[in-house]
Parts: sequence; C-alpha cells; structure tokens
Amino acid sequence: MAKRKRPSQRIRRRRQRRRRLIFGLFTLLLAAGVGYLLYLDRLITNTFEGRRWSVPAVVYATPLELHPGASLSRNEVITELARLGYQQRRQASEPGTYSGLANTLSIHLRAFRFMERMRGSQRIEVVFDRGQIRRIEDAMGRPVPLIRLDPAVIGSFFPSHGEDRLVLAPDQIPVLLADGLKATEDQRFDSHAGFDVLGILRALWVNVTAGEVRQGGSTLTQQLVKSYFLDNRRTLARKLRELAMAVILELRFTKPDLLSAYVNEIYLGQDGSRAVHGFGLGSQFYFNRPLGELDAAKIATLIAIIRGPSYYNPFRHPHRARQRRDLVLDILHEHQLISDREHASARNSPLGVVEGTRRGGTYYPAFMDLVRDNLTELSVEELTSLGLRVFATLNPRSQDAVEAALAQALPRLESARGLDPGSLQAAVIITHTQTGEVEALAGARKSGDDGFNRALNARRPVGSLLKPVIYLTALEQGHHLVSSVQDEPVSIEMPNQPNWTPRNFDKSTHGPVPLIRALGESLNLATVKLGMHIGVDSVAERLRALTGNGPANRFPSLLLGAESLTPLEVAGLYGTFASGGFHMPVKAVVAVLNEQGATIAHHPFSMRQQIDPAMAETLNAALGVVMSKGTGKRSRFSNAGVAGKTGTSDGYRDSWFAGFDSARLGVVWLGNDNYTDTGLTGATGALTVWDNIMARLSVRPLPPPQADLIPVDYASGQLAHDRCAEVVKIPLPRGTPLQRKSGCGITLRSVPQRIRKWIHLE
Amino acid sequence: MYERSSAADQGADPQQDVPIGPAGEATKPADTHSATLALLKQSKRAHASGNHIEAIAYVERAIRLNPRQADLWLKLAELHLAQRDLEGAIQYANKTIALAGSRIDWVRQAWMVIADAKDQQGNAAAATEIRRKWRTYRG
Repeated sequence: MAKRKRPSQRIRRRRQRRRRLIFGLFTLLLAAGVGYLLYLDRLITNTFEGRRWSVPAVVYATPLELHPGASLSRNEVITELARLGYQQRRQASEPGTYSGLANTLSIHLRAFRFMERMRGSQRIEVVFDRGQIRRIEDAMGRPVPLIRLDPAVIGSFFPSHGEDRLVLAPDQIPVLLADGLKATEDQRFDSHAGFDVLGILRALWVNVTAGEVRQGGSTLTQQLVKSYFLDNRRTLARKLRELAMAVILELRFTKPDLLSAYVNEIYLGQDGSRAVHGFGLGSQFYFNRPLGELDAAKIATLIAIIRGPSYYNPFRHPHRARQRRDLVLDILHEHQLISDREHASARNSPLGVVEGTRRGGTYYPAFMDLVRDNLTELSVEELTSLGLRVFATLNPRSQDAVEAALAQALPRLESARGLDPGSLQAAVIITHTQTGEVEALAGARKSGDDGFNRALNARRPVGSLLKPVIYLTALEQGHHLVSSVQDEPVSIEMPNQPNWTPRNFDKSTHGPVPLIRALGESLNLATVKLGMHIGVDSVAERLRALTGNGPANRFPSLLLGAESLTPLEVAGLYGTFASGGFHMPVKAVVAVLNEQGATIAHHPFSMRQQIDPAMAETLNAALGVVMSKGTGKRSRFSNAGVAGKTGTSDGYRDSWFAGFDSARLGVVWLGNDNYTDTGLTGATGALTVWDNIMARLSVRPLPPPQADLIPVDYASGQLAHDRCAEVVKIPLPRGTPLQRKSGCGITLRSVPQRIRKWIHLE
Repeated sequence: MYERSSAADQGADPQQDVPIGPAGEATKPADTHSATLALLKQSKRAHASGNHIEAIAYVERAIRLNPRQADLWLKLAELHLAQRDLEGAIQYANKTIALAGSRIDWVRQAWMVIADAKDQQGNAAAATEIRRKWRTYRG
C-alpha cells in the first residue's frame, strides 16, 4: 500500500505543484489583466476628460457698427451679412436670416456674447437712403441708435497637431443630428454597453448582401475611442483594446455625455494644416453657418461625411457626397425623423457647401501672427485649450481691399516694368490714425502664400521715408518750412573710408531751396546739408525717441535712410505723425474673454505724446505738400487732403510709401526677397498700390491745421498768391521773416490783416 | 513759435470730415451723434455699477466711431483717472488738448485731469501750478 501510495502521493504532489503553478500564473495574468484594464481606464478617462475641455481660442474681427447716419449702403451691409453666412429669405423669421425690399433690410441677428454684454438674438429693420443708413428700428418699431452685426471669425489658435474644433454644449446639439447619428451609425446606442453584437451581425449581413461595405459595426462609443487614438491599423489586438475602452467609457460616463463628446470630437475633414473636428466647426467649415441653423439636408450631409471625410468630401466629390447624403436622408425618413415632405424637398436640394470659407483655419495668417505677438500674457497651452475668445481689430472690408489691390496692382507693375511675373513681393499695413489699431495686414503678395511675414519680419532700408524725422528735428530746433537750405554737392569725410558724396535722384543740383521744397521733392543734397547742420546725433536721438529703438546706423548715411526697419516699425513711426504727435503701439487685440464671458485681458488704447501738436501739424502740412506738389503728386489722391512720403533704397531694391488721410494710415513695401533691383521708386511702385487700396476704401481729408496757413511760392518760399506762382499754403511760426515774390504785386495792404499779424515782411 | 489760433477764429469747417467715395465724389459725412450718446449712457451705467473695463470699452467704441471728438478722449481720461491709471489719464488728457480746438472748456477740464493725476503721482507742485494757471484762464 505504502509502496502504491508513493507514486500517487508523488502524482498528487506534482498535481498540487502544477495547480499551484497554474493558480499562480492565473493570478499573475489576472493581476496583469486588471493592471492593464486599470491602465486603459486611466488612459481613456483622462483622454475623454481632457478632450472635453480642450478648445482652441477663436479670434474675431471687429464687428460692423450700424447706426443712423453711418455711410453704409444696403449692398455693403448685404456683403457683410453674406460674409457672416446670413441667408436671404422671404421673411427673416429665424436667427441668421435677412429679407428686404427696396431700401430696407430686415435682419434677424444671431445672439452673440460681446465684450461688454450679451446681445440676444433679435430682429431689426434698417432703412437706407442714398448710401447711408437713415434709421434702424427694433421689432417693436422703436428707434435703435446703434447696433453691431456679429463679428466674423478670422481664425483660431489650434494646437500644433492641427486639431481645431468649436465645442457645443449638449443643449446646442440639434435633436435631428443626435437622432440621425443613432439611426445611421448605431441604432442601439441608448441600450448597448459600448459594443453591439447585433449591430455587427446586421452590418455583416448588409455588407455581404450588398456586396460592398455599406455599414460599419462600430458603435458611436467605439468610433469615439478610435478617433481619440487615430490609428488605422486593423489588428485584432487593437480592436479588443478599443472594445475594452468603449466598455470602460460606458461604465464611467452617461449616454448624453458620450454623445456630446462624439459630436464634438469626430473628424470631419482637412483644411490645409488644420483638421476639422466636431460638428460645430464642421458646420462652419462646410456651410459657413452655426450648426443650429442647418436644415435636414445639411445635417444629413455632415452625417454622411463621417464615414469617409476625404472619400465623401463634398467639395472634391460632390456626386459621391450627395449620393451618400440622400442615403442618410432615406434612413432619417425611415426612422420617421423627418416628414415625407421634408424628405422630398431635402433630397431635391443641392449640397449647398460654401467653398470660400476654406482657408486653412486662419483666414488671415499674417494678421494672426500679430495677434499672437500681442498676446504675450497668454501661453500656447492657454491659447490652444481654454476656449478663449479673442476680439481683434481686423476690419475684413479693409483687408479685402488690401488683398484685391495687391492682386491687381502687382501684375500691372510687373508687366509695365518688364519684371518676371510673380517676382515682386509685398507687405502692407493699414492702421487707424487715432487709435493705432490695425485694420488690415498683408505679409506677402498673396495671403497665405508662404510662411514669411514681411510686414512683421522683413527689415529693409527705408530710404527717404526717414526724411520727415530730419525735417521734424530741424523744425523743433527753430527752423521753419521756408528756411533756406543749399542743394549743392556735398563731400563728407568718413573715418578710414573714401569721402561720402551722395547725389540727388535726378543727379542735378537746385541751389538754395526752402525746406518745404527740399522735403517735397525729396532732395538728397539739401537734406544731407540740413542734417549735417543740425547733427546726425540729434536726428538719431529723435528717431530713437519716436520709434523706441536707436538706429543701427549713426553715420551721415542715416540721413538718406541707410537704416533698415520693418513695415510694422514704419507704421509705428508714421502713426505718430498721423495721430498728431502721439506714439501708439501698433495694436491688433482689443480684449480676451474666457469661456464664461469674463474679460481676462483688455488692451486699452495706448499712447504717449512724442511731438508737440503744433509741430506735428506743421510736419503733416509739409507731408501734404509732398503729395500735392512733390514726389507724391502722381497719386490720384494728391489733391484730396492726404499726406505721405515715398522711399526708395539704393539700387531700387525697396519701394516704399507711407501715407495717411484723416482715418487711415497705409504703409506699403515692395521689393524682392533676394534684394535684386526692382526698377521701382517709391512713387512708381508702392504709391500705386497705396492708391489702389485707398480707392477701394473712402478717403477722408485731413482736418485743416489749426494754425493760420500762409501762401508761399513752392519754388522759392517767398510770399505769393496763386495768380503769380505755384503756391503752397503752410503753417509758419509767428514772426517768420518772409520776402515778397517779385512780380506778384504784393503790397503791405494786399496782405490780409490776419496774415500780416503772423509774418514779418522783409 | 507755432501758436495755434483757435478753430473759431477761422470758422471751423463743418465739412472737414467729408469722405470721398471711390468715384471721387463727396458723400455726406457720417452722423454719429445719437450713437455716441447711447454709448456714453451705457458707459456711465457700467461705471456706476463698478464695471470699469466695460465703461472704458464703451467709450473706446464711441471713439472708433468718432476718433477726433475731443470730449470722448476727455471721458476716457476721466475713466482712467478713476481707475488710477495715472499715466494713461495724462496721455488721454493730452490727446483731448490736441484735438479740442476752440473748446477751451474741454482743454481746461483736461488740464484738471492732469493736475489730479500729478497730485496722485505725488507731484503736488506741478498740480498746484496747473490749477493756478487755469484759475486765471477762467477769469
């Protein structure tokens, strides 16, 4: 027995050991499995929670203000409404629509949270009269003194991985979308636990009988998981992992939570470097309208796209997209989500996608660079994830004018000058003269052409654009606009270098000339004479005070603009002149609001007086003479009360113009990135672009100077009247000694009392 | 030097801000009167309820509509003074003075803002000097 027992004991022991081993292995596996599940749980829960709140900041343009007396035509307002995706209807019965007969427009405004307050959705009636708004009334017929359209979205700060989205709250999701998603993608969504065996079998059956893949078996929850981890390998392990995560999500979150996550997460298309995620952004991207305003056909189109955003791309494959949309409409109809009539009319309607809105997610990339530069107080992380709302200064109408002007003017210049088509590069900045706010900005000849933003980053020699600083310094040192300066050859000794012998542009000399003419005609020799007289150092010092940066060049060649500035810096300098002597930072952001609508950053108007107002006024009058008599006289606005200065660098490498009217300052640079000769001066190049831009906006003459204007002969600076000379009217300090121009017959009595009081006749 | 006669001497030109349309002809200047009044009223309300940033935002909006109207800049100077942004208040007051033309009352009020700001900056001497000068102007 004992002997027999032994083997059985041995076997038992062996079995025991094996059992223990199996149990141990099992425990180990279980532990590993549980560990893995815990890991998956943490991963998916964190991802879900993280994504739910990760919303890129949206940037808005400046809104259009409507008020009685505004110089806005009915057509201009309609253009703006179209930009905002408002639909013309017979009745403006819902938000985002307008209607109108003859000289009125009835607009049903969308609700919008502005910086100061929430503006609810409301109907207004706008009456126009000869290119102006005559009156505005609310739905009750009460007069409205002022109201804004909603601002256009001009971009968003989506993170570097490219995912952009506009997150919708659960109550913003249309019922038809929610029900339609379930009907087409996941019929047992409300009851399953993350996966759906019946659904898989059904899909299999449908696909086998149809002979093609018509339905997927994935639940919405599984699709959500799949979209979180963008991985298209179809392995069993991955499928199982997805399944586990879907089950975990179902255990942890409610069905409504999962559905709204899906609506905000699902990938709907590619827009350049930006991936369009979620139905909120999808609706804007494909239809330029908020999701809440879409009809059944458009909702069905978006649902159709889910299955293959590139295969069913409605822009590139409208036929395919439409077929699939109609299939979705049939399903919606089958499930009684839409009526027979809705179904029939939706199937008959075109796709209705709006091509124009597809511009890489930042419709104005150059301007967006400046917005980013202005938001130093916010980190990339905050901008890409907190759902902030940035109110910016861009005026889409001015921006359109700039882009259209560049598109028209540059090819003309190239063909007229025999330059290679497409060779000229450009930068433009339009700012408001009194606030420093940037209305428009172009960093290349074509928006979004390349990544190089010349308006902000191209540092180029400014040439004669610098001359006004020299004349301002001279005026401040007691010279005046009729002070005489010799335009004659100069030779300046340079340390360890040959003498500097600059020349005039036309290579001639003009003898004694008044300052007003030396600046007007941009005479180099007279300017160098004047600059050497007042001192290069004091000019450099003045430039430093005006721009905040000391010039790199402290040699006499500074006087002829051998100093490089960016167009943005030039806008800062000329903005100081245009504002009447106040330096203002060139500004692109007004305020930043958080998701709750609270203001977290406000960038108020900011300015610092840098030039005495009377002195600034005198300089601006001289810059007005540049336009009416000098290098700017070829401008079509030369006599429209504008001021400006041309600039050309050595070898025609840079063509500049900076000019302003009462409301707008425009800085234009043209040149080649490789510093080759363009053959363009400031006047033949940049000025023509400026003209083209201003012709598309409206020019408002500068207010007349507050000082008395004295009529003098442009050539000699002598007192004259316009019957005997080419007269310019300029401010002069009290008691300025003046000669009478001979042949004008000016006697003491012929001079008006007011002027006699002002000047000292010699 | 460059003294400026007041706008009243030469008869301020009411047509000075006439925009010229693309066709080159002048259109009627924009009338911003009622819009500006509405914004100032809203600003006042916001200020009274302690919303200083909003109060400033309303005035800035009015300035965008009518950027050369000196009294709007004066309003902005006063709001920044109330917020103890003294340097800002002084600059907006300077802007008021630069734009005020013949409105000596606005010039005077702007100088009073500067005096108050100087006081709060601890520069009582400058404040006193400004007030002394403008007391004689009033007379």
